[in-house]
Amino acid sequence: MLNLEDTYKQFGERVFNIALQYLRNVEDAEEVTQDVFLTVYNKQSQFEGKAQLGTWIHRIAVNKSLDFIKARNRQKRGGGLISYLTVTTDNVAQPNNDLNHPGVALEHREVVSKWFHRIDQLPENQRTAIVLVRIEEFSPVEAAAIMDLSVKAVDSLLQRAKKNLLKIELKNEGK
Amino acid sequence: MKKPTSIVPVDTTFGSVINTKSMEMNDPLHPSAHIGRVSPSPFLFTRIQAKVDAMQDAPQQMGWVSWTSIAVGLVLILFIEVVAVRSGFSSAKVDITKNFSSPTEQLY
Repeated sequence: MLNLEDTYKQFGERVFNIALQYLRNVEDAEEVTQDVFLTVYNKQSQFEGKAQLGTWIHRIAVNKSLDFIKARNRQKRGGGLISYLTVTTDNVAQPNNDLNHPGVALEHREVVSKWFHRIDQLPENQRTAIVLVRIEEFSPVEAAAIMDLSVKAVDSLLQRAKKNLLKIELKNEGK
Repeated sequence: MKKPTSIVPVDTTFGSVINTKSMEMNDPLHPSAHIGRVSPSPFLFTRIQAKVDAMQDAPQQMGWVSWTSIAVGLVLILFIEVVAVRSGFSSAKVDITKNFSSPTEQLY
């Protein structure tokens, strides 16, 4: 049986920060963190111990954050069955544009906000690779385990993300 | 005039404005500003624990509610059946004692 308090002490802050990098809103990140630990508690019997506990929890955090963004987008579009049935062309979940991130200093807020805006235009897996490796500073091996990919695949995602970000930057300059 | 003993190369970049945009362009994967680690609210775990406690109580309550609803449902079905059977008998009696007026009814 999992001791929830110990698990929270060990992983709570990291889970909260992962959610915060995706959602950039403290309240939303706390809601996702709460949801993550409730899932961990409910599904602890499903944890087979093949991966490390931290890897499993961080994977739940990534999935819950992406689900939260999708749900919020559905709400913005009007919700209901139609939005479920509507197929988006690029499978890109757009997070909130209002930056409420206490980890970003006020003087850097504009620069970071623009950077996040560019990141938001990337596909989910490329964005996840950036969040885990570049912001949360997981090692490529840890990030690969969380994303259930090989290290090579994560590296490839980062390279593609880099190319795409340069394209986005050039496109923005051209406007 | 005395010459300087060593000539240090002049730092031409000193004091000049560094093009941060080009630096940013070099590594677009980096936000070009530090994103610090943030601690969640100290009450967050209390809220999580409260939800877990509520979930632990919920199955017992759910069990009680479901058994009660099943019992009430069964009694209700039994009552409807009894009423239907009784009214069926009484309506049959009425049919037998009825004076048939139309030719179609007289056939039966």
